Amino acid sequence: MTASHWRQIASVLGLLLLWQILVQAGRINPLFLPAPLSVLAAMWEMTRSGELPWAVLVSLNRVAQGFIYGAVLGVLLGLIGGAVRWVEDLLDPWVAAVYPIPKSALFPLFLLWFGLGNSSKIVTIAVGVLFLVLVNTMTGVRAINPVLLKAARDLGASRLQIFVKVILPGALPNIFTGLRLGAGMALILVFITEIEATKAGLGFLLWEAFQLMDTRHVFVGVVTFGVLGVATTWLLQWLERVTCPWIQRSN
Amino acid sequence: MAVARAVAAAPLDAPAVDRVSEWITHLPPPAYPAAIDGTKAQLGKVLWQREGCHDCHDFGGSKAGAVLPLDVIGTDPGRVHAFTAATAAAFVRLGVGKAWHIARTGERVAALESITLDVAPGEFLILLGPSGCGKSTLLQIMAGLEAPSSGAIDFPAAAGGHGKLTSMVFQDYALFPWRTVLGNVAFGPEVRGVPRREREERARRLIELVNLRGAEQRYPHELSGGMRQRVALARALANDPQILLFDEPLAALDAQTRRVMQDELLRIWTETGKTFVYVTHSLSEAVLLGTRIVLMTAGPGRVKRIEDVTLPRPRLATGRAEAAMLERLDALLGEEVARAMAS
Repeated sequence: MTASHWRQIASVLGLLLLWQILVQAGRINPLFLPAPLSVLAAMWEMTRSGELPWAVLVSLNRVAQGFIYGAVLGVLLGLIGGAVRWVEDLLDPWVAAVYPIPKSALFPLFLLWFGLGNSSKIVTIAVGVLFLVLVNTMTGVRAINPVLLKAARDLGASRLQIFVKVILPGALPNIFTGLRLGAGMALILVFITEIEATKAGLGFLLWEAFQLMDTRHVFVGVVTFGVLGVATTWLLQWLERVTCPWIQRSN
Repeated sequence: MAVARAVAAAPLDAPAVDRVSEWITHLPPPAYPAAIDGTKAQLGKVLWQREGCHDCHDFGGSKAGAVLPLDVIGTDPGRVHAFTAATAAAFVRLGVGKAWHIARTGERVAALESITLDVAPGEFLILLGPSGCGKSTLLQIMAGLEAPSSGAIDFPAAAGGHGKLTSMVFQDYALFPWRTVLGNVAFGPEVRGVPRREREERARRLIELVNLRGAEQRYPHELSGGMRQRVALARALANDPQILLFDEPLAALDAQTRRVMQDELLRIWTETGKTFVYVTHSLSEAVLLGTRIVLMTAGPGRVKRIEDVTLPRPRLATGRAEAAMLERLDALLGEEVARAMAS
């Protein structure tokens, strides 16, 4: 534990303490900003009743499915599109047209096409993840030093071998950038898609609490989303360390 | 002509790569075991055959031993080749030209103008010339990474058991950053289907040859420039090529490391008996290393002069004979540089 660590801990605990004191002293209306300890208590209740774990499971299921479909398709299309000129030509106009659209704006369309169930939410998340991963993967492939491809050819690698042994590992750092961005996008989209047309999930829990003016439960939802965000980031960082041990990290 | 020079060094475009795949598929399949498991008796024969190198231009059949299997490494350290154009018949014969099309202007610009050149087995051939003279292009053509615009290269019918004919050592190492030293060196045999144990054992032996023992599990970014170039050299040797092509391999190194690596290259050339074709723009490097120096003209590249270097080894940068030769070449090269700048 360095001095820097202690300062960070002090910053968090200090602010929480101040907040708690101000609410208890009646300076802040708990309807707008409930005290940290009461949020914690609500969180514990909801965990014991099974309400919170169930909401997390429902949302995680949507996030995981959407993320995996989007990521797999994005990596595949990105690798092929980055490596093969005519595929790139086929993809480019679509990427340019769809990439800037907020994917939440596509949700109504997907509701229309895929119904009110899980599929429309999963598809929205998948599309959001797909474009981020696709664009980053293509960038990664294009960033590979061409002399490496020459060296691989010179050493006797076939097209397929170059694809698997040079282009894929060469693009991996950028693929992980895309996955990290995609994970963040997936959490945003799962919240938005759970506001409407569902009766389960963390987003639903949060939004319903808001409509009942139950600010404590709104905070429970917010904090849980935060925990999920941190957990996915850690998971992806760990995966990157395991699969790309050659990448120099500054810290 | 001015235009020609400006664009001769244009980036090597992707389209030619398509032809490379065809080129590679036309090679006979490698058969490593035969090359690796030479017995002592066979080695003796191989060495004996090397004595009569002037008639080993035929790589097919019984004379296939002209390239030493790697087992021979270390058995013959004092051996010094003295190849000249006269003592060894060519086994690679080049007659090529190369021109680039500039899409923007529709121009056709010559980079190489009908180069005719014979490469003798076992020699240390230096391609020397001012920058932009197309010497790197010539090397890429030999490697099959670029197709000549005209002419062809006559390779001997590739002998069984000797893998790919050429391997390239690039100036900026071109190591795969995601592979360890061992993984980099084993890449060639790996893509050629050599079983893991065999290729790793082979890679370890080559890592030892280039004095990198103990660094097998390190990644390229954990190595110094000199060490990286050693890895690149070991990787190029792993396919057991008959010819090693060097594209200014020491240009990125500091002067001290370059001196050490020059000695290392000579040692490895001696120990492996491979043919080295070596592109450089350094006169002293050419004189210290080569058995023959091909001096090229400023772009479009042509052969200006071929010099046999018969100076005894070890050669010294400060030696009298070396200095005389250097001076002579310097004058010749100076003409080309002046010509390049004038037009």
